[in-house]
Amino acid sequence: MAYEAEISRNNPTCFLFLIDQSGSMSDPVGDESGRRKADALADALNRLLMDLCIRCTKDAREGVRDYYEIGVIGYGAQGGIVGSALGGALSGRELVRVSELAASPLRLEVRRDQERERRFPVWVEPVADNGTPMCEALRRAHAILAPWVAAHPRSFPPIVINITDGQPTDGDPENEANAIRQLATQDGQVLLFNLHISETKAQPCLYPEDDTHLPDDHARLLFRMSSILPPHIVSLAQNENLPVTHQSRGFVFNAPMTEVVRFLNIGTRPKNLR
Amino acid sequence: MPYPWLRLFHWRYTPLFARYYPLKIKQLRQCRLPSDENGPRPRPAENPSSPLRPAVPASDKATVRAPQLQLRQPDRQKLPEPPAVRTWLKKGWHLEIYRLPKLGNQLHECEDAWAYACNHVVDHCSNYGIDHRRVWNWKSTGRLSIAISDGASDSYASAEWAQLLTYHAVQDAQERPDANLAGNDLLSVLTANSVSRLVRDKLLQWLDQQAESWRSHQHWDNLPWFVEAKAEQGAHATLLVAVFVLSQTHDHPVCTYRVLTIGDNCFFHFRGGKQLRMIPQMLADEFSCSPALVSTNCDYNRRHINEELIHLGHGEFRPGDEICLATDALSAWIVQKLHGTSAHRHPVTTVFPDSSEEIVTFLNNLRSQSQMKNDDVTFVRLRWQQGKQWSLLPMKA
Repeated sequence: MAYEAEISRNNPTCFLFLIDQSGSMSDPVGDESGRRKADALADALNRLLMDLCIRCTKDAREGVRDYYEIGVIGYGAQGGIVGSALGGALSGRELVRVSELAASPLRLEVRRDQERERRFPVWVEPVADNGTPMCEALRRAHAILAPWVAAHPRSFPPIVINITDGQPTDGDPENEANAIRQLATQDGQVLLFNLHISETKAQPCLYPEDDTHLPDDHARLLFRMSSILPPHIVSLAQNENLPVTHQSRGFVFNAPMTEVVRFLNIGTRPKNLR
Repeated sequence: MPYPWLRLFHWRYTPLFARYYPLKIKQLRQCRLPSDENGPRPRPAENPSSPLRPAVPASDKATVRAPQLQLRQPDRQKLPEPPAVRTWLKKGWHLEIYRLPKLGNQLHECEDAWAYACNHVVDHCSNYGIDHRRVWNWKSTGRLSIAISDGASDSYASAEWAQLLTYHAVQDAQERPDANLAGNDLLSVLTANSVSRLVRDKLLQWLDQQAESWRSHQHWDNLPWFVEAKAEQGAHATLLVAVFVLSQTHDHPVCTYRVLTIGDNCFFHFRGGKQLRMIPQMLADEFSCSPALVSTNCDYNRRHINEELIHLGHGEFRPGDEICLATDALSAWIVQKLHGTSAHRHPVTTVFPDSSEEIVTFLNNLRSQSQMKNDDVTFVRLRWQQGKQWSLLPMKA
């Protein structure tokens, strides 16, 4: 069966986040918080990276186990440049081990959480500038993952999560998305999930099985680009009372940030961690 | 002797004796036990073989570089590898314990733990390698407590938590209930007839004490942000405790047992090759779900541990019976095998080999062939042997 491989230090897996940093991300999210979409996305991503680092921490003696390799690719900022969105010591690194990620945040912010002060690491800054070169971002993802799957044939396949709020401005990304999904390890094909952030209170579309109820062509395009959810993510989503079946795709459209955050948590939870 | 060279043909110099005699002496030493004829042994004030050492005093904290919890690993290279010889299983209780890490991991990475106590003397996994055998020839009343625990892989320092749980569980289970005293919290739970709110509260109180002990052995100063965050989540593990109480009547010994389990570790009782009892009763597909765990986080325990997750059982252990304790991966395999056989013959008695090496090889093969999940495995087998029975049994310490 596919997507059953054990995630271990000898056979790590890979998470690659493609985040939209176009000018439209400066618009507010659809809730009453008034935050910009770029701020909300950066906060959600930093929290997710923090959870991944904590998940891989064993104890004070051993530190972080390298179960994952993680990349954050931003597209749209600074004249449409596609590149690593990590800063500081990890600047320019497209894939880093989780131990390197834990050791080198951009900064540690002290925040009050549950009546005590805690340290929150920050790796990704909110950016909103220029257009949406999604095709270039997907080509960059393919260039990163092709040698990775060749070097890790027995690993759990990489998961690519593309987070955007609008349509691509550099062409039709469907071919690039299919090229990514054709990459595979012995355990299965690379998974590509697409999350569309909404700034309106329109009805969200979560994990559809087909495109019959999608509102427009852009939504149908992102649906065709998305992979079917593997069984263990279906189980996790059903435990969260989400409306998913074994034919559901990893795709949410017009989703509020809460659904984006929930999907990020579910989509990066491992099945077999050793 | 008129002809000294005849000594070369004395039976003591024959190869058979040279091979057999050291093993015989070792076997006799194993069968010797602390007798209760002179009264119960005084409980040691502090068992020197405790896996946990006290925390460093405040004055020495500046020089502390690492946590004090250290796992002692036996130097296996000093012990000669004994040959497998035909010998007989002496009458008495035969205890075998196997603790194997995941395939591809080292033993020090194993997050399972075991401990047992006999007449207040505690022994635990930190003193041994992947297997351990012990034989008792019961002559009078005795009390044997055994505990196994499976630390959650994704929680903080779960191996130490599992070791602490098993050590204190077998130690506290050695206390004899007194009509004038309430007994310790764990003993109150073990001797309860059913799981009530009171029993749950007693168990939570006992877990609070163990959690406090675990926290006292952690160092919380100058930790990296990720270690601090992980430590605050606490450690999680399953737990299974079994207590056997042997009393000698006029005609024959009578042994009753009581079992407490939280999580997916299983207790099996076999008689005549067939399963008599399983605690808790689980189906093969139930092992894939997230099991109940006991945590060093007291709030977590109060939120998640309810009466339905605590399992108690009791029974009578008779000569010829076999008791098995197994962590989740092996328990799932046993249940699956048992379900697949119409005769309900226990796969451990019909499939498991006798010798230690063969059992270790058997368990490793199950995992490498994906017949069993590649997880840490702890397997305890207690057999009440009647009379002599030939077996291929390497004599190990």
